[in-house]
Amino acid sequence: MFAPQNKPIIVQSDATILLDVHDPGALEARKILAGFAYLEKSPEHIHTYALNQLSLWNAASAGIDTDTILADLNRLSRFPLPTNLVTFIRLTIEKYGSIQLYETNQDNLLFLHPRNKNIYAELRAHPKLKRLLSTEDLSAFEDLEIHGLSKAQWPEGFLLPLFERGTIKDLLMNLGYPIQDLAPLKEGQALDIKAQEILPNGKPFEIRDYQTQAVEAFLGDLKPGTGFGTIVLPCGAGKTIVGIASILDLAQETLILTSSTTAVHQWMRELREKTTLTPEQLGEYTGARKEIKPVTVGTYQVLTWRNETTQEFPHFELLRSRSWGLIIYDEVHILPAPVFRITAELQGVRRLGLTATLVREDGLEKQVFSLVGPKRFDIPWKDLEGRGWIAEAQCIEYRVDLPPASQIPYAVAGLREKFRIAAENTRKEEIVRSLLAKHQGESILLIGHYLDQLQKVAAEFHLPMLTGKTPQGERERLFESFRGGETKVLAVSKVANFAVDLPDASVAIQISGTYGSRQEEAQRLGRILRPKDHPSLFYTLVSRSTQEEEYSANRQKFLTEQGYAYTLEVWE
Amino acid sequence: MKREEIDELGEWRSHLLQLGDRTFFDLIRNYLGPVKTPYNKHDLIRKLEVFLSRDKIQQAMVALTDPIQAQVLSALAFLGPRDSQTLLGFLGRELTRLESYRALANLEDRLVLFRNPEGSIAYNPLVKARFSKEFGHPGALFSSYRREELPFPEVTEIPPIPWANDLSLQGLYVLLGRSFPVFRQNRWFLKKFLDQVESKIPGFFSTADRILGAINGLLALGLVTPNPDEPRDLLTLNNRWSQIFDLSPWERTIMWWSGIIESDQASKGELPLDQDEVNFLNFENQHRISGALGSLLVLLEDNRWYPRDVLERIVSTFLSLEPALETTIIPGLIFLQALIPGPENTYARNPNLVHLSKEKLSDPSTLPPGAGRVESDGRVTLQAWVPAEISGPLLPLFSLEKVEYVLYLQLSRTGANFLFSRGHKANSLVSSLESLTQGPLPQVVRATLTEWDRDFFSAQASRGILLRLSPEKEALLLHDPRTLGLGVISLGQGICFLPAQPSNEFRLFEDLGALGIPLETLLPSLINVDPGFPDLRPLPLPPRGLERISRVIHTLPPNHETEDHRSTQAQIIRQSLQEKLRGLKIDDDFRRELEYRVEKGILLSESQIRSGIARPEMTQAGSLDHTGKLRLIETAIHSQDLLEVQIAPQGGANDPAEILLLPLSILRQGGEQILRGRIEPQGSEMTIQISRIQYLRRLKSGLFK
Repeated sequence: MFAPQNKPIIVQSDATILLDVHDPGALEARKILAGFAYLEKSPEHIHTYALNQLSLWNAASAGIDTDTILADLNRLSRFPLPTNLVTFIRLTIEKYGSIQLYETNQDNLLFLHPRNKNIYAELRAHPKLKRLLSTEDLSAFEDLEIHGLSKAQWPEGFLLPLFERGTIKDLLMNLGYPIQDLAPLKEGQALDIKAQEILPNGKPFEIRDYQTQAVEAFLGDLKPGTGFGTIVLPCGAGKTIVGIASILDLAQETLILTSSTTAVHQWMRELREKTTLTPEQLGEYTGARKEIKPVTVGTYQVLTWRNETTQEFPHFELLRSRSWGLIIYDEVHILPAPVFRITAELQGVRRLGLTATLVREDGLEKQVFSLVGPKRFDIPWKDLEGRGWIAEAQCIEYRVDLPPASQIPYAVAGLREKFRIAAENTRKEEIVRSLLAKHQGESILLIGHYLDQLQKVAAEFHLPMLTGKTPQGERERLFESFRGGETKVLAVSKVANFAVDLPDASVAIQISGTYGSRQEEAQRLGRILRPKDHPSLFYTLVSRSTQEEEYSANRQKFLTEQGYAYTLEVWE
Repeated sequence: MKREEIDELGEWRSHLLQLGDRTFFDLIRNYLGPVKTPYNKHDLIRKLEVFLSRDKIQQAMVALTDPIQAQVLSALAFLGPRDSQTLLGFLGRELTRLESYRALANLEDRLVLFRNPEGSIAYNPLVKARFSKEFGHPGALFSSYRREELPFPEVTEIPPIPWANDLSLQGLYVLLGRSFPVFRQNRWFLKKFLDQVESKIPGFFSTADRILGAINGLLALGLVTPNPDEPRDLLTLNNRWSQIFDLSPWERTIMWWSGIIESDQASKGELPLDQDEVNFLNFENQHRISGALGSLLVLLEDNRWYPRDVLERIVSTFLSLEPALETTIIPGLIFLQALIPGPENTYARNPNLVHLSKEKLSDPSTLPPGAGRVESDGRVTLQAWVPAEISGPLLPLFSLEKVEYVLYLQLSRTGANFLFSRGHKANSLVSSLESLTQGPLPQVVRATLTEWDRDFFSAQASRGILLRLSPEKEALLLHDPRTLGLGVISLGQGICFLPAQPSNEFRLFEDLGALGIPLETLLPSLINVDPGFPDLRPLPLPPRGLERISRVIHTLPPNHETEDHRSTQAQIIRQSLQEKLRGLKIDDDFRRELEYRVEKGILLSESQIRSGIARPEMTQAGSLDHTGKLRLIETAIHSQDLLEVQIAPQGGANDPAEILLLPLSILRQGGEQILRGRIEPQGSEMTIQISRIQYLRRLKSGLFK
């Protein structure tokens, strides 16, 4: 009905933008959209971008104004812009900077300055804010100085305790007001650190262009408004390098939090190999060791451990114990709720979130953005695959009928039990046998959700197995043996979902998964994405004509949105 | 002289001869001066003809024609002789009744127009040629402006896409195909349904009145119907959707729009939920509306602003609709964004309509690349330029994700099962999808469809007729060549199963009837399956001479220079006549009468200005002149002239009320005299105390009456 005019984007009233990647103008459009919209989905043909308050405020903070955005959208769009969206963009950008946060000469106080009397009145009357914002007469504070503001402007603002900086930002963000944070972040204790020029394997230490861009996007010019944010990179794309490069750039004491002891050790190994940090400078804060050194790597588990649920978290002291210049939240998508709370208090410190899959089934992505920091850098998985920085991966779903003996139990089972019967389908072993034979000699991970099933399969094929119960030492030994090539096939439970670096794994066989978890599917694929000279293969085994098919379809959504196409085979 | 002109002249002469003596001589005196006895009316008429044929006189007559009279003359030139009601009705959109009436009366006084024997108003044949040349231009009646002529206050680079379009129609089809409650008990939409539509089709259905219009339109077209078993649901009637999808984009859009406009007219903004009400809707009307919409939208040109009253006049003049339907067309098209508002109450045809193809597209390979995309996860994107005749048949395969400027769908197992139940197989669906996307489908999509196909046919139910037959009938059924193709399955001795074949059910009954198996009588309920909706007929052809009409309405607007020239000439003529009048020694009443005639253009040359050409007559009276008012009313009742009445303001109003009244009688109540009359043009009667009349003017239906 309406002819296209060689324009690549379609702007929709729900603030999503569809990009036709086959359009000749797609490349230019992508560069422009990156300035004010987040890439949400990048499947084969039509990519989806989202415009939201955060993306627009980030754009505003980078100096992109409303007219530029609207002119770009109008120029690239096949159809007229929805009027509601034009209004949304105008109002959102207008709001940026309507509330500013200033540093004062008092160590523990900040000054919140609404530039408009109506906003001031709204904040003053808001029940949730009353508790946090001091409305006392500022002229009584004789020795108070607000950096960057003249005394005449004081009556229209509030004093704010420093430790409420994150809480107030989160609350105001939810009210639709972004705070333009003009109070500089705290500088941490200086750190003597340099990059190694040559790695232990004899190769030079190089930081890839997109890693450099990510660091630049995070640190900015080190002025107010920068130094907090989340970097989203595919598994295997070198998020650890982004963290290390940030530490190198800042050269300040750093706390790194990650998901497991294995991951802690990996971080420490990487830091030792790629920087001049000495053992005296590098501490481990895990269940086994409690070292606090200029660069400390700890786990979320230890941080959130406590004897009783009513008790305070004793290890939160780690966060306050040193003058950290940077906190790195590795695998930020699994940040536990208590860490959100303590992070709210740490808004004076530079914060870097790292993740491959910022999809949370609990929908807390927004909180990650507001407390750790907004998404500063993102790159589609397929882009890096195309440039050879991550392995090309082929995803194959095998469907196999339930054995006759399971069909009636499945038919009469309750929903939960149905899923388990389908997941533990014994005929999947036939496929495992065939695949192990087919890929003999390659490094293979066999991944399962149910331990009984995993044990049975591991026993059947005489495979070493690693689960949550495996002691740390044994874990390290198994991973090391796998990395070294002595162990070719390793059966793993979900403990190996994240932050485990297994560079040589090239085949993953997923015999069962945690229901419809998109994040788990992506992370498991991520285990085999280290670049290699041949494509990696990700097999997922699903019981045919059971509810496992639906869960599987849901699990695959994130990856299909990243452009991965599954092949569906029926195992006869 | 042509025969037609001779006839017209004869009519004009006989019109004059039929005038009463008093009126006739008044008229002759005005134009030719005092009449000497003995007189001969025929001679006098001939002298009048000579007078009126003089070039100078005709020039003066033309010059003394004001812009309102020019419109009346244009209308008459365009319509041909018409009775005054039709003529005034035609002009009623631009001129008030009072303006038209005054203009008409004056043109009769000036002998430009007359009433022919049929009672129609026609041009005086003696001046027709000159006046037609001057005023026969329809530009004054159908004026429109090029976009650049009227600056638009806010320049919109891209005009809105009409909200009722192929995309939103397809979106509704997919959405309504999944049965869920739509209505509350009180026949209004459930909030959940409205939310659903607004969230799935947000841009096009941004308001409840659009959703109401869209659904009403579908009901009117019989594309959906209230579910007889669950009145809160709507059923989609797939065979009728197939029919509408089988039209060209232009026909389909016009058809839906006509349904929306017609249902709005019939339902008055309510939901016509009852089956009876739906059936009662006048499908004939809808057929007429679709024809009218098609014609009108073809007539209008792009980049042109049309005043709203001109659009209404085009509808009433060219589209042959009943008055009740006429009034729905323009508001309907504005509501549908087929007409977009411009400056000064003008409208333009939405230029996006040029993209609506009038040809049905049957070959998807002619679509631009990228028209349809299927992603690996089963998400399907159809671009706006994919017409529904291509995508419509496949729509049941999907659930609706969103419709904006693309149709965003998700492959659905329920949808696939629906199509499998109607005889499709995975292979045919794959091939249709590949044809739509002009390339191979992702392997996972192909395999998924195959899996669903296998699963669907793993258990089957067949609708059909179970026949218990005597051995000879069974033998006939199983072996007669006429029934071999029916797929009869023998289930045992004397028991056969006849699978349902809705596509050729009629033939089935005929064939079996011929074999002596009269199913019609056995299964009457199966035969009467017609839901009672008429077929969707093709759009009627646009009226003949559409091109001519288009030329007529797009001729240049009136030449303002000519109008200005006329106005200057008129001023010169009046000044010269007034000068002559000033030099004349006559009494005041006579002077006033002649001044009035100069002003009204009834006196054309200085030779007419002399004593004895008129009898003085009073035509107006102020509020204090009670006797004058009474005399005027009595004269008006006698001569059946209209009265222009101004009534003192009441109830806080600042301005006096002004009405046009045909006086009927004078009543007396107590000490008060009361005028009874009929209000024009409404026709209702009213009474008013004569003392309350602030100003009264008799509008002589003819000076020489």
